[in-house]
Amino acid sequence: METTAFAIEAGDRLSDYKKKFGEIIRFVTLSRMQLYTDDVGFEIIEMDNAVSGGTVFANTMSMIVVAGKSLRVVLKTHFNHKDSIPIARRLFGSDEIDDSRSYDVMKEYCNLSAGYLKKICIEQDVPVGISLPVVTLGFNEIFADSAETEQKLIFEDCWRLKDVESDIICSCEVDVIDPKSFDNLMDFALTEEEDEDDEYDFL
Amino acid sequence: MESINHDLQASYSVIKLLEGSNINSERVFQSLPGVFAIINEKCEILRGNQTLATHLAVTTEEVLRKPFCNLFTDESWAVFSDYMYGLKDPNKDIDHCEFELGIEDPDMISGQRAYYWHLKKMDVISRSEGTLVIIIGEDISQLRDSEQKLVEIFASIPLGIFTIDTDARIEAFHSACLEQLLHTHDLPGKTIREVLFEPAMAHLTEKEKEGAVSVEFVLGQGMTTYEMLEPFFPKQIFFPINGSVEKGRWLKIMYQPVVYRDTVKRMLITLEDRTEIVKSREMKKKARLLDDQSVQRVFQLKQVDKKGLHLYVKELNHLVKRLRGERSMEIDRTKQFATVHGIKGIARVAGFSFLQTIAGGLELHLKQESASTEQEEESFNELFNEFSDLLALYKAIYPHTIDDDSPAREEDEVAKGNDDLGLLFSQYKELLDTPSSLNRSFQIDQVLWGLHSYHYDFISSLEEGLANQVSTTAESLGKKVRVRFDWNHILVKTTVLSALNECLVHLLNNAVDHGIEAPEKREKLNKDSLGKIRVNVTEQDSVITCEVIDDGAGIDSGTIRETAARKNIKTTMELAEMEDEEVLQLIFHPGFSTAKELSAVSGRGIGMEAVMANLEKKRGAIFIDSEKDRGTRIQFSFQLIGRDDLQFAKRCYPLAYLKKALTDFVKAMRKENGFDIKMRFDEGFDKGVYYGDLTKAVVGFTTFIGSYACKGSLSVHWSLVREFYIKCSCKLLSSSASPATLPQFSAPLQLCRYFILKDKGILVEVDTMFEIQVPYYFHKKGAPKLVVGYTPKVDQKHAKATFRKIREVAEELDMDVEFSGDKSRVNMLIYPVSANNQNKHLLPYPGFTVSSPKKMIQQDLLNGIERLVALEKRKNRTK
Repeated sequence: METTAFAIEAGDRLSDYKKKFGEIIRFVTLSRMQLYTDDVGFEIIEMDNAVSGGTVFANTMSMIVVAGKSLRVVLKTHFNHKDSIPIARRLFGSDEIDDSRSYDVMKEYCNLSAGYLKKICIEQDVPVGISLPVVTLGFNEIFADSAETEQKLIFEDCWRLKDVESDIICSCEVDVIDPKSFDNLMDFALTEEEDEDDEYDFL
Repeated sequence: MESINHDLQASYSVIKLLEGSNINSERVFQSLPGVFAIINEKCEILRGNQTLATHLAVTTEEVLRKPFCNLFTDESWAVFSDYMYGLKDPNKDIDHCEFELGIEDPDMISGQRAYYWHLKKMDVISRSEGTLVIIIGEDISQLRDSEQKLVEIFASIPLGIFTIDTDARIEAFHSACLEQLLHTHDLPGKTIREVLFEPAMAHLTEKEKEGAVSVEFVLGQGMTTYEMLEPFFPKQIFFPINGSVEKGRWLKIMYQPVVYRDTVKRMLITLEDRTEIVKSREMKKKARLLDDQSVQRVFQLKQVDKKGLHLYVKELNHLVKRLRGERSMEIDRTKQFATVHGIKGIARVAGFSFLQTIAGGLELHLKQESASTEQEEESFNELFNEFSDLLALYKAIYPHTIDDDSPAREEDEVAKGNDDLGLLFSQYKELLDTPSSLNRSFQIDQVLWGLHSYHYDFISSLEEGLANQVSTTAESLGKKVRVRFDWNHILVKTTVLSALNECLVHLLNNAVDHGIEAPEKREKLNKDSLGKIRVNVTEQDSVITCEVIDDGAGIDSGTIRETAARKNIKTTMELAEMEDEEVLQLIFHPGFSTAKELSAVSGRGIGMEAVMANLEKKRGAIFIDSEKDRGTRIQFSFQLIGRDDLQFAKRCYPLAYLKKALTDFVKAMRKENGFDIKMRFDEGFDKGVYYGDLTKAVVGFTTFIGSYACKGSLSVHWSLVREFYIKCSCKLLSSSASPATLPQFSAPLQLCRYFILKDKGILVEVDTMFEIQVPYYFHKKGAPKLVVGYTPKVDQKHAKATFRKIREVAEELDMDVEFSGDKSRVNMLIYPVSANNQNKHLLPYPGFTVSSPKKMIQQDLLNGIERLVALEKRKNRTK
């Protein structure tokens, strides 16, 4: 996890905040993938290389934004077609999976992950909303090189979600507008909750 | 909620549209021809199209993070990365570059596929990916294949094809055959003069040499100049290989200008080897010539006056034997040259044209030290063989041998010793043996003119005989006829004279007999009882034109038709279709005669036929024009051949030069012949320019002086009159008791008179004095206006310094010369020093070489005036 410098406002609990948020986001993406694909074989593999903004991880990426007054999270899933097909097949059976279908699958996955994160944040008294998911070229990541400003702190994170057939990379870029909101998140317990279908707003 | 859903759906639609457009863009990108890639700092591919993936043998997805260097061999990659790092170097302000570099491709025969790369640095710099570079590769392998095929085709064309630039230098692209034709390599950069024209220079005619210079001159000029000079470009030349004539080849040259904005920017030149064609043509020509030559030799021998023939052949035999001896003992070349010169002189006088030509060629070889031994040997053998053939023919025609010193037989008695001809020959031999000098050269010419004179005579010498003939004929027929002859100073060979005489005899007889009416009849027709016949003879460019005009009865075409029908010369139908002019020509038909009875005069019908036959021999033509009761005009013309010696070779000399030649010759006459001659020149002979044939002038003047000096002591006065004439006035001061008889001063007189009158000179001769005036260019007036400029390659300072010398020389010659930068007025140029200066007369304008010495400037000035005079004459002729 590579972070830009935090303000002194964050104080000594900086690394705890970063660690906790990292745990939360990983939990979110893993649990949703396992739920989505009904495959508990998916696991998180930490990436050894330090990540900085603008790394092209794969040919395609789906992205979604979770944002509120105190923080903004850009959540991305980086995948190649060969990795998204097994995931899509699990959902649609052994039908022919074209690019369009696999993109929709990954977009939906992004949506699910963001939705869950939103739920967690709201429950921890960090109000946020989510955008629509988008699929684009993995190459466009190079334009996502954000710079730190006086008004916000940024940290980035990336990890792998891997099973036997698929290997995708998740990354996030977190803009921390109000570090104090992280205190609320510190109490969140990483336990799986039951699906509540009607909570999801399908498009 | 519903509102939020609608917003969401609207946003979703927009996003779908963007995604769709993204996908289409991606498809377009994938289908781009050639290679497209974006690579990062580490040269890993971040984006690549289908072509790139195919070359890497992976899918388009697998292209991500592949090293771009996998496309290349190690060596090629080193080159590629060099370009790339140059691009990425922040110290260098380069953001793009292009170059050609092949990629590895096992499908290609060469193992490489030719690509042309365009590299551009992206504006975006990613923290993790670093500087990004866009790479576009164009597959030019097909283009290179086509080029290679063209090159192969080009190489197989059996023509030398190349282009030259504005500096006349051969450009890089040329056919392989060119090197073989010119037997040289490393052609690009060399000039066409170096590789093509200079090696062939010795075999080019003067016109071709001029044309070769023009080839370079037109480059960078307009099309008008090109079109004007192109006809003079050498079109077929003999190209020796490494200086060897045996291995040389004939090359046909074709020129094609490459024009841009009316300027010749380069020239495409094609060479074709025509050696075999030329050789085969020459062999056929030679075979034909050999046949002709044998006949001609006999003709030549028969034509020569018997009186001189024995002497000529004897003299030639003696000289040829001497030459053989000189050759075998390797005597000094100067002596050999003198002997050959002697042979040429006698051959010329005798009319042995083949021998004369061969001797002339051998003279040139002996003069040029650089002629190869084989060429010289061949020339000598040719001369010996020619004379052997001539001698054999002579012995066949005149069986007595020339080695025999016994007295000649009566029928072909030859005078020895006391005869003028014999004297002239002795003198000729003596002069050949004495040391060479300019005077000796003039003296030799004088003797040769004397020998020539035996073969020439004026046409007017026929006048008396023909007039008598007409008078006798008219008297016998009871007619009154007056004949007038109009023939000015036309000199022809005696053989031509006899043929002309024969023609005129027949035509005049016919005019008197059939043309002029009896006096009574003429009176009835209101004509003068005295019939008139006029004979006009003119000469123009060696063509003699004769007219015989009478005011008689005219030729009745009706009578001709009747006679032609009666004698079955033409059928009635044929005659009906013929015009009157055609009918008149029938009088030349063999056996045609309208005379009802034979007379001593005519009626034999062979007269006109004989005229026709004579003319046909001389390649002549005849025309008749006639009107009933008004008269008849018969015009015929024929070409004279072998009159080179009667032509003028006009050059420019300082007038002082002529003065010296005359002075030295007269001094020699005083010394060798004991003449008493007092000579003086008026002021003005030391300056000015003489334009004329120096030999003819000196020999002409001195022959007259000598012929009068034989009679006694002489005073000779030279002056310049009427601005353009040299006048020689000569007066006998006292007569000698025993005048000398020197054939070298009497024999050539005939020719001297001819030359003076032909050159529009004036000649007055009486017993005790003569006066000759001949024209020339003199001083400033009459000479062309000389305006000197200089070429751009000459430094102005040097040009001015050279012009100062030119002006000094011009003042010495009393010529006007002006220095000007106005191109429209300039008629002479100062050129830079270059190899062409050896052939300065071939340059487009007459001129001088910068910084040359005064002696050369004087020669250049004289040569320049000559050219300008010739140009003026040409212009006047075309007007």
